[in-house]
Amino acid sequence: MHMSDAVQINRRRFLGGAALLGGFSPLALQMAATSANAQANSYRALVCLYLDGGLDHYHTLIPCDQTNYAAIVAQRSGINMPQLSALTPVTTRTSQGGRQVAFHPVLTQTKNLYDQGKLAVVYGHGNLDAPVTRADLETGRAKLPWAVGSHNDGNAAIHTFGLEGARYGWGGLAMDSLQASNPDTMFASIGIGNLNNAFSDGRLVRMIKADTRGRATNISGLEGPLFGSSVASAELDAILRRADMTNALDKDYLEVNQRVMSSYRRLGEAFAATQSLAPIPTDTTLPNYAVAWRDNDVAAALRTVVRCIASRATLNVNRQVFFINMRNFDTHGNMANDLEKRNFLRLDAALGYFYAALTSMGLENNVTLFTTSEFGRSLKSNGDGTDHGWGGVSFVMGGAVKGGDIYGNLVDVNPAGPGFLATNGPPISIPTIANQQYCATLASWLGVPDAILPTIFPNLNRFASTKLGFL
Amino acid sequence: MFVSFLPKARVALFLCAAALLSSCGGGGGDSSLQSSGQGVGAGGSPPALPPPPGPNADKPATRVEAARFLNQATFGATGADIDRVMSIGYSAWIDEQFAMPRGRTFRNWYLEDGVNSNRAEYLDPNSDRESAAWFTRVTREPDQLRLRMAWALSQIFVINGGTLMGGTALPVWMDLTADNAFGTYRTMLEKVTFSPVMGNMLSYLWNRDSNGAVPDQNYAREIMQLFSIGLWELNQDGTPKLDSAGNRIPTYTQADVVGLSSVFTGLALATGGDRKGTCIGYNGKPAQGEPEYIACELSVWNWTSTKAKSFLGVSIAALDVAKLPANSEATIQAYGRKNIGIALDTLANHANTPPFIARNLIQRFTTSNPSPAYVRRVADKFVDNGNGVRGDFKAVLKQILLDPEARDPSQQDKAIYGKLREPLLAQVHYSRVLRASDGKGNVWAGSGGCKDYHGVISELERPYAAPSVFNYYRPGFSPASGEAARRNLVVPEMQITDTVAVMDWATYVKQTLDRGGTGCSGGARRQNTFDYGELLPFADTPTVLADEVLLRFAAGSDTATLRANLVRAIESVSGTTSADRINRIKIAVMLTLLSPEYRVQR
Repeated sequence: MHMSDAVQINRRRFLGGAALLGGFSPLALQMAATSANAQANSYRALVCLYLDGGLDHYHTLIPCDQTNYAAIVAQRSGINMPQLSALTPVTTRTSQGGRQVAFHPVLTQTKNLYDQGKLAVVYGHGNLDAPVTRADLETGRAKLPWAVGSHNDGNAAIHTFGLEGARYGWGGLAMDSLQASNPDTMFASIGIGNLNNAFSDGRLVRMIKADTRGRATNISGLEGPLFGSSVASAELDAILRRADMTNALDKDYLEVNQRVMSSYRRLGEAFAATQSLAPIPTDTTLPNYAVAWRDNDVAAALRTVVRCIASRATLNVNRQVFFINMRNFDTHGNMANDLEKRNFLRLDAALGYFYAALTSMGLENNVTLFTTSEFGRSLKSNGDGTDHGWGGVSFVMGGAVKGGDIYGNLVDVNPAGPGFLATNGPPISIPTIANQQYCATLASWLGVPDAILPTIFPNLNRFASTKLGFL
Repeated sequence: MFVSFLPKARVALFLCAAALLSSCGGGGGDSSLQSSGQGVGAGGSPPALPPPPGPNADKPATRVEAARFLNQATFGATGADIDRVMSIGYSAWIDEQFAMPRGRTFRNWYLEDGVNSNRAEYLDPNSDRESAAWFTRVTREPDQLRLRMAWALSQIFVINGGTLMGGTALPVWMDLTADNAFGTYRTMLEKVTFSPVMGNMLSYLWNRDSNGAVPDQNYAREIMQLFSIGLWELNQDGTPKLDSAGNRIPTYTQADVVGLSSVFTGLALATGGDRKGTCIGYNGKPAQGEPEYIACELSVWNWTSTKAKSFLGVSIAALDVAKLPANSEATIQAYGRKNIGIALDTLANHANTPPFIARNLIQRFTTSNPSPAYVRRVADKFVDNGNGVRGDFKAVLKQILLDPEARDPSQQDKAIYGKLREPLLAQVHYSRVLRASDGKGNVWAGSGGCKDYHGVISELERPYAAPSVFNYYRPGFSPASGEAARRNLVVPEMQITDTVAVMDWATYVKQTLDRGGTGCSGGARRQNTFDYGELLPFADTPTVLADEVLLRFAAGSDTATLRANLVRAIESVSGTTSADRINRIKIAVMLTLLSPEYRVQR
């Protein structure tokens, strides 16, 4: 497609779609369209892949120098650890004091992307209000941040950063701050699956959900006669557009319906135009096909992201955030099997698929995927799994990423050492990087100005570096 | 922990994978938002005063009032139920429900009454049979209050579907919640703790404190956060206690989690010959072998932790095993069992439990944002039912439903009152009024196509299959923006009412009105049809039809505008054939079901 055609179509669609919104002046629309055109080549998107439940960092990046491998195996009684011979140490730009880690052997594509410099590991980040040491915590000079160990609070801690009661996610707030250059906010923040999503809504920007099967229709009954009556259809339209409701629940329920009515057309066009784009592999002879591909809801969600990104002109965005939830990382029991046979196979296939799809569109430098999780897990086995911890590990993937390196310091697997807190039970990893530093680095790449960062990440200035350098 | 006997179960029963939004500060049943300027009507009344006399006299003044009550207390008002409440009054109706026989079990339906009940089908993970057991019972059977309470309890004591020991765990949990719906909280906590379904769900089955490992903390944490006391110390009215600096006060620390985790050790299924004959199998008869065990109680084995332990201010001394004579397994087991009893007593007697559970239950029946006074009145009934019994669900339920804030419109702040109807409640309500049935007395709802859940009303809510122990939505969820946010309200059900969900609801209603509901069992499609008999007598007069539809679905809402919409739409179908009558009903029902007057129950 010639770019000029695309721009023309886009502009027409945009004007048509926006007319439904009401309240926008023609001048604002024109400026919006012009702005979108001007920045068509500078599209950027962040994809937040939430590993819901608390990723076990020690079963993801496995210590594999002799000393620390022996130490982690000793801690993980009853958990089936990969053999040392199956672990290939990753290269790092700093020596990490001789400590080495390897990706879990199932994470082959992830490792390839790391080796190609397209994927970085952020190691030892967690929910921190300010820098702490083990001594600070043991002597009471510092306290654990609230609710380390609670799933929902951990989710809040990495996706909202607000005080208790905060309802805005940093993805939505980042898009709020970019509104001047990304004025059509209808599709600025897209959620897929939408479980436990604390990331996507801002003060202004509201998440819109995209269906992984590509369904985007109007409210049934509004298109054409309803049970033979066009009057009935018109009355339904009137019911859903009522503006005189006073009850808060009535108003909010109507608002969700109205958001469907004003968005379905453009979303439907986007899905219709991308029906055959970047299909999920259907070759049943592929290794682990049944888990890695057929049942891979993460790959399906990432394909939906690909379809939205490919439709950025239709959706009229030059900056976007996406949220995907991947469940079942709360591996209290049967951990080795669950992570390896279910989660890692799917995650690895999905990451490889997504990077290849972006590359095929020439957009790998414009899109960065990152993982989050509410906490890492406890060092010591509970028999066949691990419990809620504190510090953990994440991946950042994309052409813009300064990959092939570990950001953060590896520590010795020694529960008596400085890397662990063991005051109130089994040892948990003390974070050396704050979630806010990790996420501010990502938001900055998306385009959030430095001056705005502390308003989204309120404790950022308590830490020495506000950006970690992986982007 | 080892899992030699149930690899499938461990794979399929997803653990507490989730975490929810704590956009309101999170913890189970977050109460932080409820104290801000709400409940103006009842908010100021002290707890000791009896409900004021007036409009909440025991008999409803109108059929609309009766229907409104039934929509809070059942899965949806029908004409016959409205007549009954008009005749005997609210309190007698509740007593009648309390006295009603337990009714057939879900497991019985699942095993005996369904089509082609057999082992292969029982083991079929793609069958809709377990949800059909639920839909059939709640849609068609008379013990509505018990079933509605069971559904409410299932959203506090949450399992998330999947399989257990090769078979489905769902009917077991449906029965457990129904069995205990009119019992006591302490008994419920006991049954939950000793159920293999929860043992598997929260990974304390086979939990132990030895072999170089530490006890699994999963249950210790979630039983406190979600099933009993919540994260923050509460006043009796559900508002958070504050310290001198104005901060909320945590109810427990990580040390309490660790201490409690060693109590929940040693829990396991009985072995070998012991369990034969004592456990119920998939076919409702004594189990003969794996994987048939679905309704056993867990027992405490002698590898329960014998170390000293402390939690929530309670200390339990160690058991000196070295000093015991040989063959003291029974002593050790009794020690472990007693410790679990102490833990459950501690949680049931904790000062937080009454307001925490009271507020959660109020949200499931009447309103998302109860006034503190309403919470306190219900919590007081939890503390003492009037006869010195703590945690009597019957007394709690009666207070929830008969409280002035539930019954008396003048006690409600209309701008905030009510709850968003969750997809399943809306779906069952609709099936009840239209008398859905497959012709054999069963109600199916699931995938029409088999093997793929594309016919469901909402991907985000299937019966007894929440994504995690954090339920489908959180009690403290508040949307990021909009009117509820502006007013600092919580709207739990809004968490699964997103753009795709409202699209799906409209599609579901339209498709089922077109074709009836469908489900899948034994690889075959099951088909419901509707019987419009409940509404057909009114179909010739548009105003009457509108009134009767609104009575059943939207009682309690101001329906003046909606009624005018309905009348115009009904009048547009002018014929007098049977098909015309049915189309008028379909139009009235569809417009109503999509309206906020319906989706907000008040």
